[in-house]
Amino acid sequence: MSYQSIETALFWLAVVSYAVATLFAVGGLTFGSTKAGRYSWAATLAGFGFHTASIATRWIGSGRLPYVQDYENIVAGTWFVVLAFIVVGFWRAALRVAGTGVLAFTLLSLGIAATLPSAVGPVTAPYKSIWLGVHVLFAWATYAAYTISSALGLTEILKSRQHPPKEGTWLDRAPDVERLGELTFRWVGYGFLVNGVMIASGSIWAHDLWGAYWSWDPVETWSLLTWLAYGLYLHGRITLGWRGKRLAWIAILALIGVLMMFWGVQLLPSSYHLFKDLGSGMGQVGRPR
Amino acid sequence: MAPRIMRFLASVRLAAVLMGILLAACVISFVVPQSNKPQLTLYETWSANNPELAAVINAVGFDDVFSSPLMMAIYALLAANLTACTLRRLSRRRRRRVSVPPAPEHATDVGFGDAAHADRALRSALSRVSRAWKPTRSEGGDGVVLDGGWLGFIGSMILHAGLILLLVGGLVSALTRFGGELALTVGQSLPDVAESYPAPPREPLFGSGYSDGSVGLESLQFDYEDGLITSAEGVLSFQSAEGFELKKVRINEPARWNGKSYLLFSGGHAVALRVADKNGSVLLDGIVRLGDRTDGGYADTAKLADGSVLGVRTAADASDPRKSDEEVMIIRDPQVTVTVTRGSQPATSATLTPGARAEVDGLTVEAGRVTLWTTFLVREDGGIPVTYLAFALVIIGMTLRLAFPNRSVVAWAHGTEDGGATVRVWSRRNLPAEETVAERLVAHLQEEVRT
Repeated sequence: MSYQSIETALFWLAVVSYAVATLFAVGGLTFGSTKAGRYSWAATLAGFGFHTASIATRWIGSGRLPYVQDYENIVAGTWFVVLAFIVVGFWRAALRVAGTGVLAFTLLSLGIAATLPSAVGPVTAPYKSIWLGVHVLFAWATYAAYTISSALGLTEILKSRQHPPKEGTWLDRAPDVERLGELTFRWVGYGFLVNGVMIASGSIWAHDLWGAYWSWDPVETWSLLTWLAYGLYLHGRITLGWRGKRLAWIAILALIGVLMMFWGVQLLPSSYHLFKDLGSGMGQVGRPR
Repeated sequence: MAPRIMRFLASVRLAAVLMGILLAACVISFVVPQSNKPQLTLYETWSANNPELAAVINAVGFDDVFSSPLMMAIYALLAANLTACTLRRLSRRRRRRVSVPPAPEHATDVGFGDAAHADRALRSALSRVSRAWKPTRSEGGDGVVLDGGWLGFIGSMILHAGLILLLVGGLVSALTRFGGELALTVGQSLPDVAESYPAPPREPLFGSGYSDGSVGLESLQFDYEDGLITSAEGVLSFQSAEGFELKKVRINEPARWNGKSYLLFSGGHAVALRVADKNGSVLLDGIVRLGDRTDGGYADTAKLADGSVLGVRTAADASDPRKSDEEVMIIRDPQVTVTVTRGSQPATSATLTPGARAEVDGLTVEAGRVTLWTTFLVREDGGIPVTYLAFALVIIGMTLRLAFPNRSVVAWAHGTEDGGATVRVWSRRNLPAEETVAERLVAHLQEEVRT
């Protein structure tokens, strides 16, 4: 059995586990069942195990970190998302209810990955940069932090709408809305910081590869806008004293910017960040033309 | 007037409007192909297919939306917004402003017999609370604001200064940037002057972008894996009054000389050709650069002195067409095909190996060496140190701001109807650290009441 086929099998096992986890999470939230919540958590842990094994297999098989192709970036990015969720879930079991948003998002992302070419290719010249390594690592961390903050914001909205509170349900066991708001703030703060490092390291890489640290490329522009949107969230909370649903909605809606930054612009033909054919000929050594 | 302008410039509403405009610009840049590189080819195709729409788009500046005068004004306003916000946050007067005291259920009241006792007790309690929390008399003088997390406040200032510096860096870049594309064939050297660039470079607004030296390409080498370039390395020579230097250049590792960076960009094959007519008149003698990628090589055309058109096509490895196509920049067994076209007459062609000669439609064509040429992006940007410093400040500032949150507790003294006085204590943001300090302050005040 080749590394590729083992990796594919593990990838699909992870997808199935996350699908089961999502179903139980949605069920737990809809019917207020804490038992469904426990099943969802178990399936999440199993899925994460398969997910990790899938990435490790690819790493061993290719002899390099999976950071080159879109497929690899989605699989690795979602791994960071689930890792962050598991850390949160172990820290406070009451926060596992946020998995409803996190798992649905992960499943959707892995669905996109499944449609992309997954064959391992060589590392072309533009990818051989320390700054790119820093850029990608912080991009994954950004992706994870913003997804978690959005899921916590969603939980806060759901919890605040529960009138009167249904005692003993899965959602009821989640921390109160003020605490959820505080945790969302912390994750947005962390995401904002790593997003800043991502933009800065990407700019340094771009300067050495394309001769300009900023080109108003759609990906760059969206990343700046997303950063500013989360900056507005932080400003709102720290300086203006905003609290509650308004901030939770910003945390949820700003995730659209994250999705555009990572995947939406890949659909456009006019971005520097379209690396699909990079390195296939001298004409595309520096960037596609 | 001035405070009103300051309030407008520092307002969150202005920031939100500016962000909205940036978002709209993003949408425009998505929908309309942009004429700035690397989208130029796409834009040219689109504008050729939609000339009327393209004319309108050009007229309103949407073809290069982020460089339009309107956007420049938006950036300037954004810089003013950031600066005003930062200055406002620095304002001691603003920090001392105490908001309307909350209702008693959200605060703790400690009663005293008279105002003087309340004032003495507050002073004493404040001195015992915590050294890390700095007390400041409130604007009206009837209360005290206790601030904690000063490192966080400093972090916020550093962050905002970094953001302003980022915009300054962009401005310095715009004023000092040099940008051009220099095409060099292996073995060729060009003087560092404007005429060496095929298209006029973007020159800095201040100073000269050139030196009295010259730049040459000594060698260029590629490695492939599965038909993809995994490494490209060239050696550039720089000649100036100070001497002669050789520098390596790779993808992601530009060669730096005389303040400029030389980045490997794109290229193709180059052929040395000599073409003469029946009378022996030389119609072409030099290097022809081929820029259009074909199966197994490159192709291009050259106009001869007699008006006819010479089509030139190369193969990198004539003995192995598959390898020639996949590893086109490694020239192993080159072959040159020349085609002569005169007006509407059918074209005639011949295939040669380097050093060979052939008669094509009455012309004598002699092929020389087949080699590589490449375009170097030549860049100079005085804003880079400022921008990188700004990046560092933004990240340091953000880290401090998030690690040491700004906390504040307010103690507000006011007289009561029966001639006594009350000190009302509350935390501004209900943060756990604020609550702890508020509780400690209340405990000290209650001790003062007892004594």
